[in-house]
Amino acid sequence: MKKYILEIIGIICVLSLLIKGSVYIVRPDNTDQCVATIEAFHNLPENSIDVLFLGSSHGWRGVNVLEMYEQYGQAVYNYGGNWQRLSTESLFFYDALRTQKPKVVFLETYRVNELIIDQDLDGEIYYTRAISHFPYKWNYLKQAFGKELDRYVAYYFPLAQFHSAWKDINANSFIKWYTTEEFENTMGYYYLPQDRVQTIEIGDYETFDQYELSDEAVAMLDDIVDTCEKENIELILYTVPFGENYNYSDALTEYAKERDIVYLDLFKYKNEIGLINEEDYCDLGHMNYAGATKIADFLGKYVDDNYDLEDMRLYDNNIWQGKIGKKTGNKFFE
Amino acid sequence: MLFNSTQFLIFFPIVLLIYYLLPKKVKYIWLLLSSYFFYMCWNVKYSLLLLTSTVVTYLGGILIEKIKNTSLSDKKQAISKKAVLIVSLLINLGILFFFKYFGFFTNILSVSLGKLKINFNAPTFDIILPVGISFYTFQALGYLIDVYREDIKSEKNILKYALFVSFFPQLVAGPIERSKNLLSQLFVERKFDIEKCIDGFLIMLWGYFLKIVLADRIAIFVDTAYSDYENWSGYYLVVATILFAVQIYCDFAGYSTIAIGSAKMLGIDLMENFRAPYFSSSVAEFWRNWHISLTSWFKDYLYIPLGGSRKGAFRKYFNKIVVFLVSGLWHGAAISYIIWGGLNGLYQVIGELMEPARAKVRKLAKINKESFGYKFVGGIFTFILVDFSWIFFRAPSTKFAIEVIKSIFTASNPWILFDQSLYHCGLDRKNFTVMLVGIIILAIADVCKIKGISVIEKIRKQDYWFKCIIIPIFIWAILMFGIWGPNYEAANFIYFQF
Repeated sequence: MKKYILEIIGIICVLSLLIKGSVYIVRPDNTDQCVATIEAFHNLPENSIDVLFLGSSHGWRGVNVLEMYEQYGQAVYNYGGNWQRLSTESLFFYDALRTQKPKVVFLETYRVNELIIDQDLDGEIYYTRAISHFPYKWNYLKQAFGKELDRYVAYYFPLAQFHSAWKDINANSFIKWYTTEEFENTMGYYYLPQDRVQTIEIGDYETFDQYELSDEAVAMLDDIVDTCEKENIELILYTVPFGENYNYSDALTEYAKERDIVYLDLFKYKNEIGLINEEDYCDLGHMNYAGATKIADFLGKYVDDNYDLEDMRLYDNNIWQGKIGKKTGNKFFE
Repeated sequence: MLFNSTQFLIFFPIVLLIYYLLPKKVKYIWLLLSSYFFYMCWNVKYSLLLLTSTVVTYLGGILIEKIKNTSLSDKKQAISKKAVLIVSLLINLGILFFFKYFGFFTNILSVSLGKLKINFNAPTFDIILPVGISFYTFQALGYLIDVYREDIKSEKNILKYALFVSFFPQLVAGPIERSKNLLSQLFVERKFDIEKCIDGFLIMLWGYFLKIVLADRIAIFVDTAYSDYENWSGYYLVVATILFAVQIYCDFAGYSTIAIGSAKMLGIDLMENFRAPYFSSSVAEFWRNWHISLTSWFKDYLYIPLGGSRKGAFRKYFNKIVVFLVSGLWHGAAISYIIWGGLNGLYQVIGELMEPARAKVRKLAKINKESFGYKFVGGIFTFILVDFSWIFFRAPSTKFAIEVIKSIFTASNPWILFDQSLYHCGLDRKNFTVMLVGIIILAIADVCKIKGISVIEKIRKQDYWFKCIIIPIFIWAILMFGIWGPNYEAANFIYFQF
C-alpha cells in the first residue's frame, strides 16, 4: 500500500508541475501586466493613497501619476488594467477599498456601458484571479459566469479554457513580460515610451453619436457613487480622448448632474491639455508617455485646485519619491 | 451527465469515495441511488421509464420462477411461463417502440397509405428519446429470458435488481451486460483493491483519450464535410468517410472503455465491448469484435431462437439478415439504419456463399489463409465494406447517403490530398497532425490487444520513476490536446441516441 501511495503522490506532483507550466504558457495574451499591477497594488502600505485612478487601458496608459506627484505632491496611484469594462472597474474599486482610503477616485469611462454578464472566461476575467476572494468578488464572478459550473472550473483551472491555445505557443509564451516591480516603480501607470508615436485623427466631439446608458450600467454606477458617498470619497468620472467616436458623453454628463458628481470629458479639454495628435498617442486608443504626462498635469491641477490634499513631497522617503529616483534605471523607461 | 462533463468528474470521485467508506450491506443502495441520480441528470421524468422496465422485468422473473414451483402440469407451466415472458416483453418493447419507433412507423404508414390514395393523419407526440432506452431495455430483457430459460435464478431483492438494470457506468450506452456476469458481482463482499482501482483509472484515461482527443477532434472534420457535401465533395468525403470509421470507433469504444474503467474502480468487471475491430480480416470477424455485448445479445436472444444455423443454409442466411436488419433498427428509427444493418448482413451472407470459390483460388494460387498478406488484403477489403456501410449510418437520410456515395464515386479532386486543402475542412494543420498521431497510437494499442499484450500491465510493471513520468504526461496530453472545456459543448457520445 505504501508503494502505491508513494506512486500516487509522485504522479500528482509531476502532473501538478506540468499543469502549472502549461497554464503559464497558454495564458491569454496581455494579462501578465495586469497580474503584475494587481500584485504591485497589493504591496502598497495600507491607507497610503489619496488619489486613485481606475479604468481600462485608456486610463491605465493615459495618466502618468508620477507627474502628479512631481508637480503637486499628490499621493496618487493608477490601478487600471487592460480591457476593463465597468464590472471589472467596479471590482478593482472595491478591491482597492479593502486596503486604501482614497479621498478622490477617478473612474475612467471608455467601456462604461459594458458589463460582464453570462460569459465564458476571457483575458479580462482571467487576470482578476490575482485578486483574492472577498464578498464583492463572488458577486463579480456570479454576474460573469451565472450558474455555469464549467466556467467556475475554468476560472480556478484555466487549462480548461485556454488549453486549445497550444497551437499558438511560441518563444514569447515562455517569457514573463512584466514584473510586479515595474508597476511598483511607476505607481501602477502603464508606461508606453514617448518615441512610440502614431498620428491619429480625433473628430469633433460635438458630432459624435450619443447613446443612453443601460439600466444595468446605471445601477452599477449608482452602487459605486453610493459607496463613495458613504466613504466620503469624491468620485470623478473621466474620459481620455482617443481616435474614435465616444458615445456616452451626454449620458454621463446628465448622470453626473443627477448624482452631483464631476464628469470630465477630456475630449472637450483637448486643447487646454495641449494634446497633439502627431506626438502624444502610440496607437488609436492609447497615450504614449508624453500624452499621459500632459493628462496627468491637467488632472493634477484639477485636483490641486479643487481638493485640499496633503503634499507628500514634504515627507522624506515617501513611496513616490523613491520611484522617481528609480524610473530612469527601470527597463520601462529605457 | 456525460462522462466527459465536469459534473461527472465531480460525481464519480464522490460516489467512489463513499462507496468504499460505506458498510457492505448498504453499498449497493448507494450505487442504486447514484445510478438513478446519474440518469435523472438528463431527465427526471424518464427515470420512471427505467423504473417501469425494472419493475416489469423484476415481477416477470419472480412470476416465472413461481410458476415453475407450482403444482401445475408441465405443459400448463410452460404456457404460463411463456405468457408472462411475452407480456413482459410486450410491455418493455412497447415502451421502446413508442418512444423510439412510433413516429417512424406512423410516417411509413402514412406515406404507404398516401400512395394508395388513403388519407391517414398520424397522431404526433412531442417525444424526446430517453437516453439509453435501447441499452437498459435489452439488458432487462436479457435477464428475463435467462430466468425463463432457467439459466439463472430470479433476483428477489428489487433494489438489487434495480441496480443491475441501472448500474450507472454502463446504463446509457453499454456494454449491455448479462445477468450471469453482473448480478453476482454487484453484491459480493468487496474491499478496496488499490491495484484494481489503478487499473480502472488507467482504463478510464484511455477511454478519455479515445473520446476527447480523437473522436471529438475527428468529428470536427467529418461534421464539416458531411454538413455541406456539395462544397466538400469528392475526396474530401472519401477522407471524411474513412475518418468517420475511426471517429465512431473511438467514440463508442471510448465510452465503453470509460464505463469498464469506472466499474473496475468500483471493483466490478464489465465485459469487453471492442477487440481491435478494424484489424478484422472479414466482416464476420469484424462483428465478432465490434460492440461485442450487442452482437452476442442478438446471437443469444434472437439468432439462436430463430434457429441459428441448425435449420439449413437458407434459414441460416435468412436468420443472419433478420438479425442485422433488427440490429440496424435497434440503432435508429430510420431507413438508413436498416440499410446499414442489411448491408452488413448481406456482406456476411455473400462472404459465406463465396467461401468455396475463395478456397479454390487460395488453393490454386497457393495462398496461406493465415499469412500476413492474405489477412492484410482481407483487412483492407473488410474496412472498405464496413466503411461503405458507415455512410448510411452517418448520413441523416438515405437520400443524403446516396448523394455522398455519388460524390465519392465521381471524385475528381485527388490533388486535395496533397496540396494542404484538407487543412481547411475544420481541422487546421496542427490539429490534423495531432489527429494522425492519435490514430497511430490507437493502431499500436490495437495491435498490442491482438497480440495479447496488456499495455496497462506493462506500465504497472515499470519502475517508480517511469510511472511517475509517463502517467502524468499521458494525463497532461489528454488535457492539452483534448476537445473539452467551456469553449466546446461537451460532445455527446454517438451511441447515446440509441
